[in-house]
Formats: sequence, structure tokens, C-alpha cells
Amino acid sequence: MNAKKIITGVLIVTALAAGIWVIRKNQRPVTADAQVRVEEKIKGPAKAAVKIVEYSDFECPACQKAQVEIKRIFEAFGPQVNLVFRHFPLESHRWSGLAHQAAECASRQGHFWEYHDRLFNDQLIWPKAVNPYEDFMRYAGELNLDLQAFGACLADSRIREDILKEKTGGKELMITATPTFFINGERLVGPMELQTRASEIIRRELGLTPPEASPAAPSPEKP
Amino acid sequence: MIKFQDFGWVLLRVFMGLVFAYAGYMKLLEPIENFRGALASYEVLPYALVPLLAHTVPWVELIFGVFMIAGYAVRPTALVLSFLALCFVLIIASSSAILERGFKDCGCFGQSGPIRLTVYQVFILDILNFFLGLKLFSIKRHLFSLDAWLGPAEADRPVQKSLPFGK
Repeated sequence: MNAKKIITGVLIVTALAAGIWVIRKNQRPVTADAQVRVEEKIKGPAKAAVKIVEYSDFECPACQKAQVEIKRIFEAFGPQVNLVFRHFPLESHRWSGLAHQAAECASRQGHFWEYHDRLFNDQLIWPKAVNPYEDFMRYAGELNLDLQAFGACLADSRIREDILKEKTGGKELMITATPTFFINGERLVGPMELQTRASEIIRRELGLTPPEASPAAPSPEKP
Repeated sequence: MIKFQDFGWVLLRVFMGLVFAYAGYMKLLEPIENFRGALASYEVLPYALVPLLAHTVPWVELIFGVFMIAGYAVRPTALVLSFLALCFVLIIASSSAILERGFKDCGCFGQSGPIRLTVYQVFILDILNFFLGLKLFSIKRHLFSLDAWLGPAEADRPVQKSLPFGK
């Protein structure tokens, strides 16, 4: 390869690197805390040292898979962490929008997390229904919610708009896949990343020693 | 003499370059964790490799994609991109997560851009790119390329026959 060719190659690579650097630098930084949200749906103490923000879709199998890991995190770290749920229904999932609305309606009656768990537990059932409206009403009934208010809420377009606003906030964070988590601001995408890195990040945030050095500490591995 | 067919190879070369350059560019615009998460979710690669690949693959795609469009070092570039396409084919084919869950989007073109291909469409595209890369590698001279403009490499120059004692 002659010198002219080498110099040309170096110039192309430098120009590309500089271009990407400039574009990235001009991207507006947004944090998960600054996002528009419907009423905050929070599990665990509000002032916990570690805040996990989850953008999720009730019809997404990967989101359901992540629930096991979230449960394990709460078992391991208890009151030191809290979880904030944010709606991110994907267009490719037929009933996801309605499911999120149902969960939001349950939230207005103070039962978001129970409804959330039910939607994920029955993820193989309601998404396959011709119309899951009856399933959602049944779940609400089983949680002893006010069914009249719940039904009215399910038909309320303002709730739908609020959910979409929350999703738009997620898009501004360049969230493109569910589930996406922010653990004290650090982004993790997908259940595999959560399973592999969450404990390590939480430990670091809490100032705990790594599990190798502390046998009594909860292990990041699954049992 | 330039054949009509040679123009076809130019178009295909630019097409292949655009595919890779766009894929790399879109991934680089997004937080790197998005691609990292997509790679991890395939559950094929050893997890220790995922962070390194998430940082390097988008740059390799962008740089070699632009090289291909510009016709710079076409033959080695074609080989690199062909190898990359083969790796993508193998990853998709061996990912039980993809086959079982039927991912609608592989994250191959970033996930926020206007081009959204299904995993199966990307699979076909990668197979085509693999063979196209091999074909482009086999072509010695490329029209409308920096290679042609900058002149042949020393190794490609015709050997000048000279008399044993000078002129």
C-alpha cells in the first residue's frame, strides 16, 4: 500500500471519528429523573439509596423474564432499593396499550403492583384473547377494585395520553427496547444485562464489597 | 474497455457499503448500552465479549462501510465485511432466544432509525452481503473507486521487465 493510500485511509477514519464525536456532543443529555411521568409508581422506600427505573411493556416476554431478577434484587437488597415503573407499550404488541391503561387504572385505586404482577403472570393468556377487556375487568374484580370506576378509567382517553406522554419521555432517553432499566442513572437493556450486572452496580452504589470478598453477601448468581 | 456489468458491481459495492455504514452510524448515535443489551439478549456470545463487541462492531461497520462506498481498499474491506456478515448469520442462526421468542427487531440497524427490518429479513440480507463481499473481493479493479484514483498498490503494479544490465 502506498503512502497516499495510507494517508487517505487515516483521513477518512479521522473524519468519521470527528463527525460522530461532534454529533454525540450535540445530543441533548436527558436523565431518567427529568422525564414526564404519570403518577409515580414506586415500590420500596421512596428515599432508598438505589433507585431502579424500569421502562417496560406488559406484553413483552423479555420484560416478564426480568421480573424474576427484580424479585431477586428485592430479596437481596431489601429496603436499600426502590423500583419505579414507567410505561413503554410497544406498537408491535396488540393489546399492550390497553394493558398499560388497565394497570394505570389499578394504580389510581392504589393497586398498581398487584395488577402489574397479574399482567405479567398471565402474559400467555390475555395477549391471545380476541379482546382482553374482560380479562382486565376480571383481574380488577379479583383485586376488589371499584369496577365501575375501573371501567370508566379504561375508556378514558386522558389516561391513554398520559401513558403515551410517559413513553415519549422514554423515547427522549433513546429507549428503543424493553425492558430498559436505569440503576441510579446507569442504563441496562434487557433481562440478561439486568441479571449479569445489576447486583454489581447496586453493590457499588451501596459501597458494599464484591460477593467474592464477602461470602455472606447475596450472590448475583441464580440459585 | 469498461463493460456494462462493471457498473452493476459499482452499484452493488455502494449498496453493501451503505448497509454497513448506516448500521454502524445508527448504533453509534444511540447509547451503546442499547446494542450491548441486544447482543446480550441473543444468549450466544460469551458475556465477557459483549461489552468489547458493543463498542467495536459499530465502528467497524461504519468505517469499513464508508471505505466500501468510497472504494478505498475494496478487496480487504470486502473481506472484512463479508466476515462480519457471516458472523451475524451464524449468531442469528444459533440464537435459540431469537428462534424461540421470534424477535421482531435484532437491533442490527440501531433501534431508533427509520429502517426496521425483522430478524429474518436481516438474516437474508446478511447472507447476500456475505456472498457479495466474496464476489467483490474476487474483482481486481473497481470503477469509481479511490483505489483506481490513488493508483494501484505496489503489489498490483505490472512487473517491469528490464535487461540484466540496465537499459
